[in-house]
Amino acid sequence: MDEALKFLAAGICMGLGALGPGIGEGFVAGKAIEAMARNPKMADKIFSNMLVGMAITESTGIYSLVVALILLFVV
Amino acid sequence: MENTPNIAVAPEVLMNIAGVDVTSSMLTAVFVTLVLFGFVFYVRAKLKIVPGNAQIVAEGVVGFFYDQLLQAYGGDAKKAKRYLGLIVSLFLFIFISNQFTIIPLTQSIVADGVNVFRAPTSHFSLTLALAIITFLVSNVIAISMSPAKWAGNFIKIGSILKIRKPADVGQALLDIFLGLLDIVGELAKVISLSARLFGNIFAGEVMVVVIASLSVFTRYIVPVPFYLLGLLSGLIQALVFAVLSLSFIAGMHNTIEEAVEQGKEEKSKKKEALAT
Repeated sequence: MDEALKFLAAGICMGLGALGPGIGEGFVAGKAIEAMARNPKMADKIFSNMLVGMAITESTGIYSLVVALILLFVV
Repeated sequence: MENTPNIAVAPEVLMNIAGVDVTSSMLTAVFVTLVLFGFVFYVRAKLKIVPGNAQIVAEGVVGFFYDQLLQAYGGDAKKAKRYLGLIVSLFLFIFISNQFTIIPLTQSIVADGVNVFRAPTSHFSLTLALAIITFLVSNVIAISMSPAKWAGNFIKIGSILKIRKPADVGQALLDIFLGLLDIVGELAKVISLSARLFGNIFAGEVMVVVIASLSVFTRYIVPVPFYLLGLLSGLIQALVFAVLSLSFIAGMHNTIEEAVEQGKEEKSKKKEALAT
């Protein structure tokens, strides 16, 4: 029973935790592509900034991933 | 769950030297350092006016972070050079650690059923240590610049002294509360920096292991795209770690410096007012 609850908790944690970063990264990519289309000369700079921004947006998803991993392998 | 792969958050202990457990990720960290030293001395020995391949890479990395530091410190070249070494070595160390397991055959060396090499950044202790280094550099140097201003940044007693009329009380209380929140924020930076790096690299490895152990058919070619994704995210996470620690350090120092200069200006204004 405990084992099953652990897996369930990890699954719910990851599923809900992936929602926010998914929406956020979509915004980042959408805005970045908008900016690139308006100003193609700056595309390289915008792209590298976009990657950094995405990695930061992703962090809440990564936190939930860490929690899920702890639930699965440590607790 | 009989065919689940062997995944562990804690790295395996290889040997015990003088009471200290030497784990696989510690050993790999030493190798990464050796690789880094090798690269640096190779580049240094071959420094030329017309750069070779290695020198172009090294110059590109150093130049990128130098530009970022110049921007963060408002064009102060002396300060930018002071922190350049720390930031670039953070980046290079994390980058090589992330990619170390991509080197062929390193995953095949097994001693007593334990993989000898494991990406050091997939061990939470290492990323936590790196984040604490950033935390200490930003705060200890800020304290050495001006202990009073540093403490005043978090515990805003000064705002109570500014109360002139009853309507200001709410503003003062809000300032104090925000100052307390800043303490939490400062500690959260350590956790967020370390957990981000650890989560990304560890998840990349777990992904490859899980895909490879799904069935016999997914063993050979299917994990390749995930390896490529791991390569990309290893580079980006190293970059993000370096850029974020740079901005934390520079942001802290800039606020303290501004506060110190503001204090000086106020003092000189008071002196002028007294003189006239």
